[in-house]
Amino acid sequence: MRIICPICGERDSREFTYKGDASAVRPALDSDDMDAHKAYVYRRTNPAGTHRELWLHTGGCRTHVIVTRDTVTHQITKCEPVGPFAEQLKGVVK
Amino acid sequence: MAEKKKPAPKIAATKRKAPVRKTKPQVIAPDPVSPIGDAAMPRAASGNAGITLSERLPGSFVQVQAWPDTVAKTQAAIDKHAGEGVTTMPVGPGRWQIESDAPGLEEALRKALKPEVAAVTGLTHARVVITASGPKVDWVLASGIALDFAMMDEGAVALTSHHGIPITLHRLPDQGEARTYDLYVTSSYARDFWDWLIRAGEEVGLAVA
Amino acid sequence: MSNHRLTLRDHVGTLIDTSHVTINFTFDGKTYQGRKGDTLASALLANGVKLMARSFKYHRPRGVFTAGSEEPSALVTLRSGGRREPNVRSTEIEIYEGLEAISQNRFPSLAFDAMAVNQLPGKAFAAGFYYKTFMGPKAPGHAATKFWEFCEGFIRRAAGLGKAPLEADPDDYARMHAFCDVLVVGSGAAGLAAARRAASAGARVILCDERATAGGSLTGIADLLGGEPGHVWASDALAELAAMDNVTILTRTTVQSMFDDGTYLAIERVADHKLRPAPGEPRQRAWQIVAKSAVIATGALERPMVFAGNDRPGVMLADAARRYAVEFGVMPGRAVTVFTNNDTGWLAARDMARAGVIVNGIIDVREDVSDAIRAAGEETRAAIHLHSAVTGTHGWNALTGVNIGSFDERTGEVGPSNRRLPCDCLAVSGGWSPAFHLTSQQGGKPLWDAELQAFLPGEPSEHSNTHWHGAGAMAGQFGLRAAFRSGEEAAVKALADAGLGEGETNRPDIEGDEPDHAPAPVFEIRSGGKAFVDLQHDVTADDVRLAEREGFRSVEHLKRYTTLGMATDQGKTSNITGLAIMAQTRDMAIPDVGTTRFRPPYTPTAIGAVAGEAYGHLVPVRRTPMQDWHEAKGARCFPNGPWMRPESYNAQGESVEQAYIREAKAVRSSVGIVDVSTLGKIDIQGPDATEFINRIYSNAFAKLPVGKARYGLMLREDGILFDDGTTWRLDDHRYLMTTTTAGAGLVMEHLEYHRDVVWPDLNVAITSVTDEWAGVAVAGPKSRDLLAVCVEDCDVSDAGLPFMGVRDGIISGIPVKVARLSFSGEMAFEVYCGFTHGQAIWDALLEAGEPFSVTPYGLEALGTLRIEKGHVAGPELDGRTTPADLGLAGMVSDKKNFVGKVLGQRPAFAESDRLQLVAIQSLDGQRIRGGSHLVKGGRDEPGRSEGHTTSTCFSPELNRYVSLALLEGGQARHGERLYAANPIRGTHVAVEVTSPHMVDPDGGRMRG
Repeated sequence: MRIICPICGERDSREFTYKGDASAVRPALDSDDMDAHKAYVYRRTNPAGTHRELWLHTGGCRTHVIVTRDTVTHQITKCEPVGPFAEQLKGVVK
Repeated sequence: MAEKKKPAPKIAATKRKAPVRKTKPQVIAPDPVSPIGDAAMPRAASGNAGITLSERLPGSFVQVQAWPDTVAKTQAAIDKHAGEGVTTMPVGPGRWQIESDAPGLEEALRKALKPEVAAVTGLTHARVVITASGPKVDWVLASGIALDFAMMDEGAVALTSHHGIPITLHRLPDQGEARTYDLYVTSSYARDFWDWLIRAGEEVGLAVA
Repeated sequence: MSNHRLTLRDHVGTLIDTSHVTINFTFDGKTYQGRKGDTLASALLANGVKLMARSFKYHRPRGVFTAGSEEPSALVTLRSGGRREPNVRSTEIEIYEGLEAISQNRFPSLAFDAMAVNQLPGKAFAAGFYYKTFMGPKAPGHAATKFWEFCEGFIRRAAGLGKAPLEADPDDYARMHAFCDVLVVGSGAAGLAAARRAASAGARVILCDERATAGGSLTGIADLLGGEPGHVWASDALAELAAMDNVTILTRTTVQSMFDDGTYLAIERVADHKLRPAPGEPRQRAWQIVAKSAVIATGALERPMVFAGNDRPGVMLADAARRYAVEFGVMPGRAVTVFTNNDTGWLAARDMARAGVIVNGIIDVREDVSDAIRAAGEETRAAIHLHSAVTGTHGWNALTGVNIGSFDERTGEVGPSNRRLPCDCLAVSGGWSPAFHLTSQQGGKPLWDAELQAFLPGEPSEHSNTHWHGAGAMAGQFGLRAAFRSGEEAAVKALADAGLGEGETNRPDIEGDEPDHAPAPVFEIRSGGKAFVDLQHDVTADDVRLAEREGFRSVEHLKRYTTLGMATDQGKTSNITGLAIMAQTRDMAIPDVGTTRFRPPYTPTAIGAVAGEAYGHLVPVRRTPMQDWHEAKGARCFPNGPWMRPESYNAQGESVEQAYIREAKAVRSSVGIVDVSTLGKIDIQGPDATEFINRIYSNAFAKLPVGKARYGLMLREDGILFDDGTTWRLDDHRYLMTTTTAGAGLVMEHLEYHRDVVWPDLNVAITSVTDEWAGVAVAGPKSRDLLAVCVEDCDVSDAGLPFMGVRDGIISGIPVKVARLSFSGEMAFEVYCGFTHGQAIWDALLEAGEPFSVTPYGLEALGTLRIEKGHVAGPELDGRTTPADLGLAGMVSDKKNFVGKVLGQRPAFAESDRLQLVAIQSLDGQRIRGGSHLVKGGRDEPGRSEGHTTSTCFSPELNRYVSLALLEGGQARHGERLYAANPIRGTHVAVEVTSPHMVDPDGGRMRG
């Protein structure tokens, strides 16, 4: 697979580390909602199909990318930036 | 210890009894020792050299990271420190890796860039620079690094890796007609990476300058 | 052996070097001569050797069946020693001086094989034989039925292919990463046309061909291209391409796999045609090719017809026989009979006859053929039998003749065999199957073409980002003109994928045949007797029908029940005939039976080629600047995370245990030094650095003063302990975080995740500085005295450098950071310096420590010291323990929010019977083994496990074996007596449970 890193450009997926479901959003820092935390840590839809997921470019710039990938066919349809510079990087990737 | 290891630098007085020494340092720091060690001894290729390697330790190597709203300010400060013997490599939004032949760049940039503007991280000891040049340099590098070298223009910089060894790759002006790169390799992996380059280069003839 | 070499002329032996140099090689110990350009198969045929192998199950004699990588039968073992390679296709390997090949799966010899009795009981090894014969209830105390265990040894020896070598492979393998606009797979007419067209548009082109000589079928055709023979035209065209900067031609290179996003794996056999690789040369090179688009021009594979005795040595595919004659200048037999259901068999007969081969018969199942084809047949002067079929064969180790009977292609009825034709080669053509294996790997769904009686590759899957276009025979475009046209058309589409222009057309004039490749829909002649579908796995037509009768009807079941198509050739010459027989049995159309998806690789691939340069060196090793010193001192080193670290510095004759006890005692009594450069070190900076760290650690960090370090606990979000270490505040907005050696990479990712994804609004920079700093821990009551001798510009007294203080100093002119930290429980310091000064600092500390007999110590002593002290490390942070489990509940803040806080409050974490950290001490002088379980009972009735040991050692301080352990409700069980049981080692040690803090529990030594 080839992943488009918003900083480094298209690279082999072996340069990246899979970091899981990108839809899991951490509750606010001051939240003590146990259910929300459980959902964040444990609840995953594990779809057979389109999945938004985080990949870390460990073998390159060490920033994260949100990859939209079909878990059945491995087809990647979108790579999006995330992180402090996400705004600046928008439009760089497909 | 049974064996006595002779220290590399001779220090002024090792047997002084004073519990606290407050004298100004009188000993000049010894030269840094390359992590590649004896493996980097010069050698000639058996035939024509398809690739020639050399190594150096940077005088200074610094990474600067600006914040999203301070990129221009940081760039301006970095520009002021540019010049002869300084290589500034942009490696991401608001991020630069800078090598200088001279020591002291980390301190100078820290002075110029307050924490509110940018983070300045000293990596002078953390990188060994390997210069690779020759008619077959792309062939050898591409055998271990998944980059499209033909598409790298002069001055291009890439952050990449070889079997998990982080590398910053910088294409320099050609030496004669030969493509030339600087590879910034992390110190603890430098010996292993060097050994790989030596093995990979054998097929095309390898020299160490 | 007789000479079967034809007289080499312009169009006979097009692949054979015209110099008269002979090449000596051996097969089963006998020496033969061949010519440069020969494959092992062609060279053996030239020497009249027909018998090359024994079959997999029945040990039937087999000869060569094809002339390419699809070969199912003539597999040999090549070379010897560590270079021995089993199951090499003799049709692919080029001979070289000194080649050694031996036949496989025979005992005692190829010509007389005792195992051939396997076929006498008839149905003994039919499909499902193993399941039916050996399945059953397991015998008590056995892994399977007793009958299977009795038979297994014989069966494993009887069935199988070659043997793998036991020695390490002495050769190197390399990898290459390549990028192009258009990858062209196959260099026949279609591939060459595509490559020329793409190259003319300025595209970066890589052209791969699995054979040594590129050109595909052009190397042996009768047609003229631009007035020249095919092989001459192809060689000129290739030279022209090779001269272009934007074209790379890779021969001996098989594109094995088509992956996602335009990624391909190709294996180049760099030195397989040599006795051994040249110095520095890899044996094979794995090319990972990333192509914006590809033209797949892999041609088509001829398929056989199935009839009784169709496996005798001498029966081969018609195009293979033709290629041996035309390309290798070898007689496939002294008298060749052709059996076909389509026109190409006739043209093969004609081309063989033109090359000087005697063709004595052409048998065609069809009632009639076109005038042009009839003329081609008449040119051979062979007897022509239309409306006929081969109904049986004669001979044992070699074919001696065939029976011919009348055949009705509409009903499949076979008439009586009233004629016998002597021949030693039967050339069979059952039609052509496009080789779309690669595109099938990427999900391309094949489509049945009733006219061609073949599956075509279909369209690329919409679920794949890999762009490809089929051309030539692979796409069902048979014939030279169609190949050139479709090759260029595919190239134009591929150029468009790559965002490039159309390039220019450049096709030669073609004079020659335009045969009809559509065969009569005949796959099997049913005349009784063993008729093989899959030659490599010995699957017969009856096996396929048996599978149907027993309910294994779907193509996937058929494959698994009979093993049809599951041999090393993946059924290249058998899949379609197998499907056709199943379809006929079930009275269905072939496409309704279905097809299987091909999997990579296209041909068997050496593991070494895939491992590439990583062979023998799978994971790169990190070295501290003192690693040379450790090794020079004879320290035993072992991996810790990605690093090698010294276990202990054994003196002459000293065991590891003796060494670490000596080293640990030296630390407790005077001073020792240990290399801690491997600890993860992370630079954390920014206006929000304090806030960030405070959210990451479970204990308070907001008020850590500059110049101080603090021990921190890091939790996972689920409340489980993740890593620990000290973090030093170097400045208001600058920290140095240290992590465990093995946890460094994961901690870095943990921080990066929270910076990028969770709190991107914080201005904080995170950089690994593990390689910036070398570190030495100086530990023991004399550590301060040692530092006082060598550190300048730094007051190391208790007032100047209190516990957990961090100061800058200078040693031997080298700037250092000195932190007063203790892992051993003794007064201790960590000295950090620039990585490239590590050895100089180590030397300076050794010299300064001479008056105190400073002792370097390794990981065993380091572990011993921290176990005695009750400090936790990796074995206790096992992914299941919470801070409270390890007695660190006080380090979990209730005044701030941090990662892991909320889920750490789940009730189950507060239960009193959780596994909790304790120490156990041996009461009977016995060693406590790692991995022991804590039980209440003695050896006879131990009872259930109530916990387990985590870190064990001999404690020099307590003079007994001790261990840290996790014990149910352990914090309330100090003083209890238990046993540490290790049934695997046979130990059962009486122990007492104590506090984990076995040495200096109040910390006076390290604070003093």
